Amino acid sequence: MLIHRTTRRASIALGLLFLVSALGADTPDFDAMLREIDQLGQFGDRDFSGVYTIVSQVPGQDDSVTQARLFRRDRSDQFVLIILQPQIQRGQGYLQTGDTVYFYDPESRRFERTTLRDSIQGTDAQNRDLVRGNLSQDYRVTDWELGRLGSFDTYILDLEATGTGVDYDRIRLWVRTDRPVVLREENYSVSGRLLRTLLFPRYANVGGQAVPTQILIVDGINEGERTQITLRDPSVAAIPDGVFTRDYLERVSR
Amino acid sequence: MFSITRLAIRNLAQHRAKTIIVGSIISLGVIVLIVGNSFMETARLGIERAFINNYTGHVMITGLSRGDISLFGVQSPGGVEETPVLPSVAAIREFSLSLDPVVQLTPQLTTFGQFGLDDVEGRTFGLLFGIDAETYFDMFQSARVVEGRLPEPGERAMLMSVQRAEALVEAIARRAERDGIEPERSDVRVGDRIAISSFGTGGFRIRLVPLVGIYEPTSGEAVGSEFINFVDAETIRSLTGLSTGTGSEIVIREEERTLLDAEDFDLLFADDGFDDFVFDDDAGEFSDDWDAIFDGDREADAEPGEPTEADLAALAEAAGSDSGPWNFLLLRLDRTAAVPAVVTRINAFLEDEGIAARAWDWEQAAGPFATTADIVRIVFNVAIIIVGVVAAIVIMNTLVISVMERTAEIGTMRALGAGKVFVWRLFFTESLVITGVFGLIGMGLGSLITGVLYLIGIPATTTFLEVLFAGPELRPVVSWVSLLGSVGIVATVAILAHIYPVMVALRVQPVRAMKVD
Repeated sequence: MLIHRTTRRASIALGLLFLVSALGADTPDFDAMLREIDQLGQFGDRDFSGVYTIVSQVPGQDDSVTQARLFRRDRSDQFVLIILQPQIQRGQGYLQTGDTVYFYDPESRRFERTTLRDSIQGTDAQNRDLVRGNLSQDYRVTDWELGRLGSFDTYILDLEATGTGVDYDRIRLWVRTDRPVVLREENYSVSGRLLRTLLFPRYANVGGQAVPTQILIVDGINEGERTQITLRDPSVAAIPDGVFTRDYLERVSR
Repeated sequence: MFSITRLAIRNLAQHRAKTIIVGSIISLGVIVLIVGNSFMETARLGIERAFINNYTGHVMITGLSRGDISLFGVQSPGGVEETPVLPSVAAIREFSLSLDPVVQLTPQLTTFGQFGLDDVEGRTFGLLFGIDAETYFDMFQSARVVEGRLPEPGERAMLMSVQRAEALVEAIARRAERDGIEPERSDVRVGDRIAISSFGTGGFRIRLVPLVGIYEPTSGEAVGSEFINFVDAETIRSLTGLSTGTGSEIVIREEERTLLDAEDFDLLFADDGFDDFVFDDDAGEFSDDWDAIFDGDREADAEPGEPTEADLAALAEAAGSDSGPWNFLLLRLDRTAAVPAVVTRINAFLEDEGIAARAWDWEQAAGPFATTADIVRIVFNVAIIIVGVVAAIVIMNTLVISVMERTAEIGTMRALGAGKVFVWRLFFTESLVITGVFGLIGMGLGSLITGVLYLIGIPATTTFLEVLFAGPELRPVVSWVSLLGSVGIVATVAILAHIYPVMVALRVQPVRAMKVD
């Protein structure tokens, strides 16, 4: 009787061990996945430019439209964003060189320090939405599950910030299981409140890198407020060094 | 009547110990109510005076907004919404001034901004009041200039609060420390060029404006003044894009806004969505002329920091009057009591004319400051009411016991031929006499205590208390309303307290009542 009970316990333990190891084998390497996501959106030695149209919808108001041209040089953490439209904001620009981001006002011809988390012209879009992210360094995966979004199987990842220098303490990502492409992102406050949801239904392969060509941002706090960002004329043509300077912003907006 | 009064006084004198106990409780109740009411009333009047005299006037007229609007902007979920532009300023102004109680009017713009010395790193935040210097400083004498002068009408100028100037110096020092260099400046001086950046219809903007003065609040009542800085209206309009309109219509492609109407997000991911093609390195329209990224030419250059031609055109349109874009019209009335009537009349006018605007009283204009003070005042009121109720219960109990003890006396009076009405009147008169005498003593002592507190002054040791006290200290003042109100409350309690025990005593048969010891 005792032998029988011992054998049964051993069988159960072995079964559990097998199950755990089997599950472990199916758990993807999420750190590597975050690195892949980062790398897919980075241009490395190549430059990137494109025109973004940002349409913002607020209930009871006319849609606001902003068009801006972005120049990116990821290898040296530089970008220049110049507002093309509306007329009233034309020539305003942002310049990042290293850790510093400047805003340029062509009317006063003055630069002011600003941050990547600043919204673009009052919309729900932020400067960080248009430049490369650093998920693998800023966040770690705390939980995951399998899910489905539209026609796609996805990993749903819960990310927690590893430091304090990020905009959102918690992020939830929907990543396609067949390729490391983010389809949906939810940004949460420290208290767990949903601040905004980003949807990335369309991507373009630009010089081998995946760039979202359509982004929908849904405001989690102000009901009905949405912003669509659309990319056109993407290019990986080399950009002159002089573009990533304060002089260029001053010169080009005259 | 005289004989009953004399009998009542004699009875009170005969039951001296009881009279003194009941009377002392009545006096104490009156003292608590008077001192408490004086605190509340002084604080309420202080806040009202501080805001009406320094910032809001009696009535504020604004455009409509989704969030709660005050003179300090719009509070909305998720942040600060843009302050709406007041439509039909000229018509509203004309109607308001036609109302009898309205004696002064000034328009105002409000925005938040970041500012610092031009070409010196280090910025601080503050509230920017865009004002019409001609009428503003006539209506509000809230600013005492400690350096420089007040802005002149029509002049591009900034008047900064002492506290913001100090905060700016600290910000410059902090920035220098972060950059590992010596601070470029250790003070803010009149004549400095101030770079102000703000966000409005025209996006993020920077404007330069000369600092003409540094001010401190005229009285200690100007709550929140440390955040407020006065700037000419033209500069604020230029900063917030009010003077240049919303720009030309932008034609966008259909696919650039299709996602906005999406109801089921899953449907966005119905197909692959990955445009799997490779661009040539030279693809795209933009590759050669790096300096020509706009479709057309910009208008002729203006001097740095000066308004553009578009700005100037809009300003010229508004010149000669203050009917340009404003956020608020502030009205001063000849008396505070007229506020509800004026607000009602202006709102009726706005509705009749179909103008999307609304008039508010000063409390709405004071916004979060008045709300905070209101909440604290409600808590304070509740505390006073609780103390008052406790005092009333103690008084009632004492009186009930006192009357019950006199059941035998009542029986004797009835046996000797006194009618029920006579007994009622006797006890009623006793109540009036005791509340009258000890109420007066309470009034005297309450006034004395309040007077001493007035002389000493109760310091506001925290910002919270400063808001509550509407200044750095509270000097409570007794009002006739609180004096008479307190005595009235205590007298009512005392008289009501007699009804039940006298009623019980009168129900007892005189013979049985006389047997009660």
